[in-house]
Amino acid sequence: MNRIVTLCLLAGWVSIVAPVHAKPIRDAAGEFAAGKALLAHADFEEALKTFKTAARKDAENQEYAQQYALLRQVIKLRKDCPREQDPERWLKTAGALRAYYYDHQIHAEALPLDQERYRRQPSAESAVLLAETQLALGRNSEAAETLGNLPDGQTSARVGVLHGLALARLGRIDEAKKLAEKPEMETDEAGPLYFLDLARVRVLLGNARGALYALTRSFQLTPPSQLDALKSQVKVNAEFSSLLEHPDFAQVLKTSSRVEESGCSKGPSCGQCPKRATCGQGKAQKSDD
Amino acid sequence: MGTARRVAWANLFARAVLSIRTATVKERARSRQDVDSGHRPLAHKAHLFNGTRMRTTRRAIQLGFLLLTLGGVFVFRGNAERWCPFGGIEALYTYVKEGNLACSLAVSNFYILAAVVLMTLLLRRAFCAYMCPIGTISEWLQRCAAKVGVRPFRVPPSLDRSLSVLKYTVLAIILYFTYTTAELVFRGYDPCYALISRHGEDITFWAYVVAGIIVIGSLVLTLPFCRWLCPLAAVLNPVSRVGLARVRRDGEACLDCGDCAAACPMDIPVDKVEQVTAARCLSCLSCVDVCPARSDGAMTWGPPPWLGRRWSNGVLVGILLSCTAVAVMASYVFPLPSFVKTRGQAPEVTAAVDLDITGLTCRGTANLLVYFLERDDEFELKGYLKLEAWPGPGAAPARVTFDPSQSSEAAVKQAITEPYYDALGGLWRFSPFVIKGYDPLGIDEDATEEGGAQDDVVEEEAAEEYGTAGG
Repeated sequence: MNRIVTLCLLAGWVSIVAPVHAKPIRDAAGEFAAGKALLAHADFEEALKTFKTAARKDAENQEYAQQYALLRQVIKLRKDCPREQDPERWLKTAGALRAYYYDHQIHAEALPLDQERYRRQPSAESAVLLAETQLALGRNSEAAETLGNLPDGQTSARVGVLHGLALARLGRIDEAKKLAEKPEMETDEAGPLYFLDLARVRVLLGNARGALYALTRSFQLTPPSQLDALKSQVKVNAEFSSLLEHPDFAQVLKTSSRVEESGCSKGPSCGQCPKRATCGQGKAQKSDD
Repeated sequence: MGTARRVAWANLFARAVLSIRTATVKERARSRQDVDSGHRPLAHKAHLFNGTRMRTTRRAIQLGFLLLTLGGVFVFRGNAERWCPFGGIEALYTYVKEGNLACSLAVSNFYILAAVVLMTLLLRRAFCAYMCPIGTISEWLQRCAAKVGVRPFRVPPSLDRSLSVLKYTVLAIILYFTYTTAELVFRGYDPCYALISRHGEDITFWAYVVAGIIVIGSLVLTLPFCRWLCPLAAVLNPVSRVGLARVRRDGEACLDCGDCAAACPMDIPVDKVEQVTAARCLSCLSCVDVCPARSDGAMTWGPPPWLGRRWSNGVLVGILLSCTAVAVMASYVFPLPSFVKTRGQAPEVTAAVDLDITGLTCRGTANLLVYFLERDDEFELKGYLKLEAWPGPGAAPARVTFDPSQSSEAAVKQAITEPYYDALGGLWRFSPFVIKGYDPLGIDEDATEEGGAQDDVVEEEAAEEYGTAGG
């Protein structure tokens, strides 16, 4: 009887423990997804190993190899950045790292960089970068303080929108309205992120039509290669959930980009090239062969 | 095959042979008479070569080049754009100014252009009548229309002259926009490109509208595109004006029947001139073919008399084929790079690395390669730099020349393949280039392990050293 009980207990233990210890067999896509998940938790070294495994398992997939190469470079830059003596090179390195962190939504890693940049070069530009990160991390009062401390001469539409967003999130609606509902906020010189933040503020201020207008402008100014990702983010972002029911929201999601973009470089470097839409991709190669 | 049919075939063959022999005997007799009477033996010699056989020869050459083009495009899926002489005209300015060519063009365009110009200097616009696929299709369409009773509409000479100016306008517009943008901006509207690119991805609806207009025009007019619209014709006409070989008419022997003028596809009044000097003459020799008095030397074709000898049709065919063959060979034997970019002054000692790069498909991607070579991060290549490339499908060859005291082969490869942070754009740019035989990530070096997940490679070291396995 004892033996049966022991065997049952053993079987039970194995059935519980074995799946925990067994390494799941993943395909390349699984490895890559796991690497991204590790990256989201800022586990760079493990993510690098996983990306390498993904690239090995599917050598044809250029994205896996590219992400592996990029992360390897980022890890090196993370080590070099604190040791960098040349202020200009430090700024560039910090910018490169920040771009990577923002691409992968690792805002917590960007915060010390932005704080350091603000410490080294206190200006509206560095304050905006710092406030962006603080807002992304939900540190709204810190963001409001960062932007509120700027002298009047250094404020801009961008500062106004971010400050308004911080205040609106803190429930200081009237103050936020004063900052974010000025006519000059709909400037033609701003980028897609500016209008995205303007839409955020307007949602919080209950101005749905203004928010939809800002979203439309943001989509129009986003390069075609990044537009689908942005639209997907907007659809699942809780900040825009109140817009989902709006009758015009579906129409706004159909907005197409007005930015010209080269297919090979994802930038405007190919000028008038008639093949710019597909240059360097499979279709273009087929027509050339 | 039945006996009766075999006999019928044998009779037909015998009759054909007999007629040729009879004709030959008659020719010889006439030749003897001519010699006896001291009457233009050279003209008679010309007739022997320039008889009705030329039409057959021309059609055979046309068919050969048409099949070569269509086979090259649709069977071997080649890039026919690289063999278009007009491509050489379009690419010339950018190549001289910037050292590179517009997308899909190559140095072969220059070689074939040189060959066509040489042909034109010797044979006038024979390229158009014998080799150009558009000319062939246009001519054959009209012949098909004639078979079903559609007679070509003859354009009055004054209107013909006015319409002829159009091709110079077309040439000017194309060259202006091509030279200012350094790209083939009209390619999407070009019916020839629509065909040879197998409906390439940048073809617009208008390319087929233009193609339709040319096809319909060819049914009711004689060579409308070649006469009034072809920009290559606009380039060749001034050369053709001083071309060596010409059709000549002997006023004494001429019967003034006007058949020669009626047969001319370019509406040249051959019956009114002693020598055809019109630049648009195609050297098709239709006028000579139809002349009833050609045996008397009324119509002859050849170089100026001071050269002493007349040319046979064989010379014409030989010049066409040899010029083309030399151009094709030259593009392989002397493959000048179609993309050249230099930075800085060359030092006394330079080093070069030859690479086969995937992703280097056109001028746009070659510019992107320069963008990576001229990066300003830790993979920066200092000092002199020269890129010579032959962009194309697959692994395209490229040569990078550098200053060995400031750079190295490994650094060149890293600069090409490593991601680059674009500080201006605020984003990371990935290199789309893969160097054949070079594994910058060290991914392949221990790929023999199952999945590679359990390997002991220290990622940290790899990150610091930027493994350069292979190469």
